[in-house]
Amino acid sequence: MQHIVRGTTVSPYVSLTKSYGIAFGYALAGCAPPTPANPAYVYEIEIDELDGLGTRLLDPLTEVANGLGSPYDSRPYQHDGDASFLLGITDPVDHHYDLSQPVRYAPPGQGTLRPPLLGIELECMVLSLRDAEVLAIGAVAKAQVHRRICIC
Amino acid sequence: MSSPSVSPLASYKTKTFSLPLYLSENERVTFSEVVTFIEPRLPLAMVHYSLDGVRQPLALRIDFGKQVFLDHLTDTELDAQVSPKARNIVTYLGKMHAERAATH
Repeated sequence: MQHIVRGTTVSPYVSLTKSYGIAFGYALAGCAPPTPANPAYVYEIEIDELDGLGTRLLDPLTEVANGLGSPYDSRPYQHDGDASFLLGITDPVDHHYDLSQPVRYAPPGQGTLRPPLLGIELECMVLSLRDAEVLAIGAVAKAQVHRRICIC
Repeated sequence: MSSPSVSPLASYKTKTFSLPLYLSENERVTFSEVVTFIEPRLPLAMVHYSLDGVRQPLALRIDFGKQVFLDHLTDTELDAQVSPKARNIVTYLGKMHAERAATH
């Protein structure tokens, strides 16, 4: 979860995406804009679980969801904000207010002024969905690279 | 803030915002501006900065949703001081966007 939510670089995982649009975006937003002289690349990868190359794929959403507690747990993963709260998680610049809005209390309405509950499990699921993310464990072999698409 | 720039090659538009000095709060690292992508709309941006007064050729990528820099400085001690500033930059941009939306 730290790998997905905090961008932790010390991690055994490699982030991949199922979406070309997401990969295109990451290629565009490099440390410098892509140019013909210094292009960015999107690598199209094909990983077969039976290819014997040792790369294993994980669906982060499934992994996190399988570890969630029951609806009776006193520490839920669900938020207690408004419906637009998720927009604030994925886009806190355009939806700053949605992320920082104080939680609504049922009448009579008194309570500590605070933002909605946001656990790392929910944050991880939302951000992995945003990026159509799949995690690879182990190196991606050259034989698994189907093609390289130049972005410039 | 500059007007949107269009790349004829990869077909994208960016918008650049100047960053106020107080967001840096570091003697060695100063953030100057952030380049955001408006077409396609991306949750990523490039933060340009100076190190010891010298503008660096490569920007630091920032992820708005994660509120972290995706790149790190080679000086780990300095990086530990600078990394938490990513959240301040996201909050600054969010507040600025909200203020602009309220006045339009």
